Amino acid sequence: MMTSPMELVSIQYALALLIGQDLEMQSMLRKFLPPALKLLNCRSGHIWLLPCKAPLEAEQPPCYSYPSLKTSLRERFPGLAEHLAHPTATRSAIPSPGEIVNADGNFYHFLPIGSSGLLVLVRDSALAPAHLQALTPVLHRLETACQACLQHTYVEVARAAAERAHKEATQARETAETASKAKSDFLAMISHEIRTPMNGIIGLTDWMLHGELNGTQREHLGMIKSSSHALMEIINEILDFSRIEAGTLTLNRAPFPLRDLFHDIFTPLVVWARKKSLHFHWNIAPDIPEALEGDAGRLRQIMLNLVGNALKFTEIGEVAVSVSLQAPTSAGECTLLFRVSDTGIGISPDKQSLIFEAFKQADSSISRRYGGTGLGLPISAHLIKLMGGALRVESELGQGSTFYFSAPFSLPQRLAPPKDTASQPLPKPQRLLNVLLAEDNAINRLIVQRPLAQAGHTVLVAENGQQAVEVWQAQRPHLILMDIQMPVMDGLEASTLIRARERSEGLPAIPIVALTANSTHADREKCRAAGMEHFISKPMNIRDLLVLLEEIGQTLPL
Amino acid sequence: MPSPKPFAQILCDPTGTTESLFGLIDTALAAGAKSLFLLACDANGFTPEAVDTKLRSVGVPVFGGIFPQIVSGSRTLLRGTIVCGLPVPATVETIERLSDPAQDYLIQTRRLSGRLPKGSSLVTLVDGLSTRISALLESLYEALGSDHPYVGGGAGSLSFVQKPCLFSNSGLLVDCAQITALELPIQVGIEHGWQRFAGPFFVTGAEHNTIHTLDYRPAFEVYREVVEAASGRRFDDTNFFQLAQGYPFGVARLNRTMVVRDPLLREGDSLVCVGEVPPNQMVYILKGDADYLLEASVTCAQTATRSSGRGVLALLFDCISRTLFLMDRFPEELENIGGHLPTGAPLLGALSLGEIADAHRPCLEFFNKTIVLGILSQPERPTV
Repeated sequence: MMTSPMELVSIQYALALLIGQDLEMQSMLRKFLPPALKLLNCRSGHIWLLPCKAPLEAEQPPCYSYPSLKTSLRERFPGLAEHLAHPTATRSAIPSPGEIVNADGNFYHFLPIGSSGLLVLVRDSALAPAHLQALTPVLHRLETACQACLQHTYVEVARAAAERAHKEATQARETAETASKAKSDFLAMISHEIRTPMNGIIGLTDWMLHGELNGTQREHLGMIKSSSHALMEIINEILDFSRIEAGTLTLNRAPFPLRDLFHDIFTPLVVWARKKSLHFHWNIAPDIPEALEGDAGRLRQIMLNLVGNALKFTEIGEVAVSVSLQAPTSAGECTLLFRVSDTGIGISPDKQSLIFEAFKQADSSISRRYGGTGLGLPISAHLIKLMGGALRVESELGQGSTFYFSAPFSLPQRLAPPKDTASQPLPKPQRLLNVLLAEDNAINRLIVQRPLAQAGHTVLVAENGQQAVEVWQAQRPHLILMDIQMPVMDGLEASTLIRARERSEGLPAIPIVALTANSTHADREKCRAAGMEHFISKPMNIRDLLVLLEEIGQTLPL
Repeated sequence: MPSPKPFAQILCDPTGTTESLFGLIDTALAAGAKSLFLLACDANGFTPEAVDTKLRSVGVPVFGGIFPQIVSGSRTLLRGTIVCGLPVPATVETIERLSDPAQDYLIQTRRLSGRLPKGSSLVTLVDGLSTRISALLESLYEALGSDHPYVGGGAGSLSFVQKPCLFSNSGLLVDCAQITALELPIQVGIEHGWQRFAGPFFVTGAEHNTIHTLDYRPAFEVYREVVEAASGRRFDDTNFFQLAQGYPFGVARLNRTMVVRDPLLREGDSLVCVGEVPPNQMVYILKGDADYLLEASVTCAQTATRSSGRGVLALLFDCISRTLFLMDRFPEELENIGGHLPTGAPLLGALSLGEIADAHRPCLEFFNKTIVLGILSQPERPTV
């Protein structure tokens, strides 16, 4: 039966609208081919796509068949397979356009999909030339849709690869971060373990130096004390570095007098400079406010590091420190420029970037000759960054170095009067107290116990938090000196328990002083949350402890 | 020479009671049936509560459906039941959720591929009121291809209320397809006899089995203009289906062939058909002529009887709307078919909501207003 042009155009129209309903190749072809076969009265259809216009290979299976091929093409349609394998069929990318082959009781219609594929329609009878002509533009559209699907696949594959790479990178970073944190935790733990006996050594040495000694003994003890402090500095640097890596290093903010602070920092260094016959001086510009607000402890650490390095690496000449206003004082804030210059060995330009990297010094011979962990400058640089500035260096080999940085400081409303404890004699207690000392380390107990006893206080001892709670319950001391890390029950838990019992029994709050080697802001917050309102940092200064006891004693009811 | 023993045991009950159904099942089983093909009338009012327990207790495969009417020989039954005990086993598979737009039936039909005996004939029954019958058949054919011959139709009720209508060993099923493999060859004839009358029209809006617009106008508006002018009757004072049954749609295929779609009901300005109507295709409105329709039944029977084997059972799926159109001439259709059947091949079947077959057709189709006749045969035994 003849098909009218109108019907043919309508079929062409319907076929065209079946194309490109999906961007996924199989799905697109599946939405096209089965209804197209029905429209064209075909029993089956097979599509080959030929990337890069490669010729169709003899046994190449179709990329889509309707209905599905459950066996090989050769087994199911031997005539078709034979024709595809025939040299005349494969000499070009596809068999002759519009070729119709009668085999296997079927009429196979070979229709090019543009220049990049082949559609074979299987019918009981041959299509008329007009039908084949009507299919040509439709199959050009199919080619475009197939290319869009291929493009989409490439994009999807690339996107999946990018996603996979991103995921792997994230995993690698997380793994590295976990490893880094584990390392930092390990360093912190080791540092703490070393600090505890070091506190004992320093404390006992300090205590013995207060006793009666001959000249040699005093000299030897002085050397022990000096060596111990040097070792503590190294340990503190490792601890700081581990905190930086773990991202837990934070700054404390409190008002402080800059000039007094510099005086305290540099006075001992003057002695060192004098021993090396160096001229060491510092200058603070007169327009700098007397009081600033910031982390005085960390500024001390930075200046000690920079000036200490300058003195270490300078044999002849001078070390000079200057502080000037970099930006005019604005409402409640000023930015200071700190410079530390020396006439020392200097650093070559190619090594200048290395010195801010952890564990690296400009030259390996430096560490052999001058010692040091190589952590001081990276730590200082990080602290300055936390303060809002950046540490920089200008230097030439053999011509000395200048380290400089700027940092903003707040201007406090008022400054508390300074405590000049160093020049005062050990305070005589106005009131003798019953002090409960909770400390698991026997040497540390001794360091605290002896001076307090000598001052006339009574010291009760507990070796862990649980014992401390029991002694507090039984003997009601005036105050508690509470170590934080203890076996059985730590200081935080013991303090929390004591505060809870005080509340439930309606007792007044006993002052609890935290004895802590960890003095970060977060550590202090934990102590406060547990009910400890005072802090003494380890290694402990006896004078500071006695002064604190005196202050607390004055607040206690008679 | 004595007549050969009947291949199948066909038991017919005109009362349509559950007791009779159960009795016929027991009789067939007692006679040694290896599978049961059940046909029942919608008027019987069978419900899952009434029949499921019995169906679950049957120890051989059960398949079949509930139809508006059923056929036994030259008789049509408006009420009643036919139990056909087959001396061969059957493999019965079910595909559920036949109206779910989210279902990809290819996944399920591919699983069937390994479970059905190679080359077996597939009696394919569907819930005729499900909306994705064509999608299922498209997937079924994609997975199984022409390795199997197919014959079947749509079960259900002329009330057009979807309810459980397929018999199975699990009970009565709704919104499902049932594919039953019988290891017997089958020869199938498909004809309809409807003639082009008006059109063509472009289906400019359609979704599953609902036509929304024709030539960018509301589908019902276009349809009404044509049908009311031709029939001299009005949809306002006539039941929609009574008038529409004489004017189905024909979905155009190449070489002026057509697949018929029966307008079932009107939803606003849209027309709901039995079976899916693809969008962007050309359709005609067809008109029935009793002589042409009856001629088609002869052609259909002639095609179905071209089997080389010995015909043992004739399965008929004849559209219910042909009965409604031919009315008192419908027995002629059954006579035309019966007159061509080989001796010893009794006729049984259903007046269905849509018909299924693939023989001499491109791919597997869901037809309307069509006769599908399958003759199951046994290969001739070679003479010694």
